[in-house]
Amino acid sequence: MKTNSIKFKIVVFLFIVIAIGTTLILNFINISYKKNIKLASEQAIEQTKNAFNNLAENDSRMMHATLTGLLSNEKMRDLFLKKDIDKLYGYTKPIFEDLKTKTGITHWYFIEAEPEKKCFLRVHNKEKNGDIITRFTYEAAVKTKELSYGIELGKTAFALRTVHPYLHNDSIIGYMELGEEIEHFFEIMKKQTGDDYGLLVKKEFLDEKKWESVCKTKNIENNWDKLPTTLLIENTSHNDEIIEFTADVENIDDKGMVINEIEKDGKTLVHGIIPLYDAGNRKTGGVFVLHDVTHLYAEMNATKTKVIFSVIAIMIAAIFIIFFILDRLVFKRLKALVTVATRVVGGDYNAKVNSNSNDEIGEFETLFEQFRQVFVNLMAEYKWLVENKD
Amino acid sequence: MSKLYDMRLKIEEAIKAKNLDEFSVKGKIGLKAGVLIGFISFATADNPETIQKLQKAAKEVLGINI
Repeated sequence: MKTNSIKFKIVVFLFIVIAIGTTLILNFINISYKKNIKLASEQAIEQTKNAFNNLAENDSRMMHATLTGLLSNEKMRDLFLKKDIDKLYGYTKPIFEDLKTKTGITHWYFIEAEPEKKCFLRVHNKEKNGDIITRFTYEAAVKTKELSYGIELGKTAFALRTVHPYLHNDSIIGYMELGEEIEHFFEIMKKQTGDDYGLLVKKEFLDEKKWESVCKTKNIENNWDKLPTTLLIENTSHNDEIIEFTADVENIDDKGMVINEIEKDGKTLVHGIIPLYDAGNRKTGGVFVLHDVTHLYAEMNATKTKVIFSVIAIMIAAIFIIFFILDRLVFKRLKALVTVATRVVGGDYNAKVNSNSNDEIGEFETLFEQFRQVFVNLMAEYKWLVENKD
Repeated sequence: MSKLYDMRLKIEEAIKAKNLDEFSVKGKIGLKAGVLIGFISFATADNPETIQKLQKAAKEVLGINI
């Protein structure tokens, strides 16, 4: 194909148009993928928030129901009123063990009424008592004289706590508190959603020495220095490296926020985080979510491949169809005109242009045939003049 | 006999020898040279410029020197 031919120019033009079209389509796919990723991330964040809040709500209800039952136990109340710590511990210890096994409750407190506010008995840790309780949930129960519950941050972990006034003859004789650590929430959430979760806490609320001690007890690596302002205290993925959070917890939007997208071990994951408020309404940390979007990424790549192959197929088909049409409508007819013109000049005055179309080329064919007849007549006249000159 | 007429005869001989389409070949040569070969007669006056053009055209179309 000659580079100055119409066919070549059409091919080049088609290539340019199709290349631009393909680029635009691929860009649209990328934009659509990013939108889908954003949507999936937002859904994962929403799901995390709902799952976490539902678990906290359900466990609070469970602890409230348990607390109601315990508060109505007359023998227990009598032992508390008599301030007989050994007998009270002896009576409550088997109940606590049963609750711990069946419900996951890990903390049980008997607290003296205000103004003392002292811990009378920790059923889960008898040796430690007499300290003043200052937790937000306890203070709220004291203030409202009603049930109070919420997530409290200790020195190394979060716990869900429920506190209720302890009544005798409509008088407050103290407070009873039940609590459970929230680490198990994340394994439940993982089972429900398939996502991985991490619990980040602002270091300023934690005790480094106690965390070091926890790490030694659990025989895990001390990760205190891994992140600048937060500490990862729970991680269902068992790979701390994929939890990357260097921002300030205070900047996490209450609706949650998408952090980034990473590729790890052949998987594409999106990161998101929701803030975690304690019972004192302090933004103490965040729940990190890792949502697997590998399938979306694979779908996008598959779509891209399909588009590229489809465009190539369409391009080849379009070139063939356009060439076929142009050949029939234009090129063959132009070639016939050139042949007739050449033959007439060569002396074949009978060579004629047959036009049976009234399109643009047909008009030219008609004109050409009229011109040919004028030329042939002129040549005949000239020949007669030459032959009859004398 | 003019030189031009001699060239016409040589072209017609070559066409016959190569068994080519007479009108097409004469037409191509005529269009290139700017002459109607069929109108070149025994008495056609020689014109150096036309002779040169016809020689060049015959070389291009038939590949012969005339």
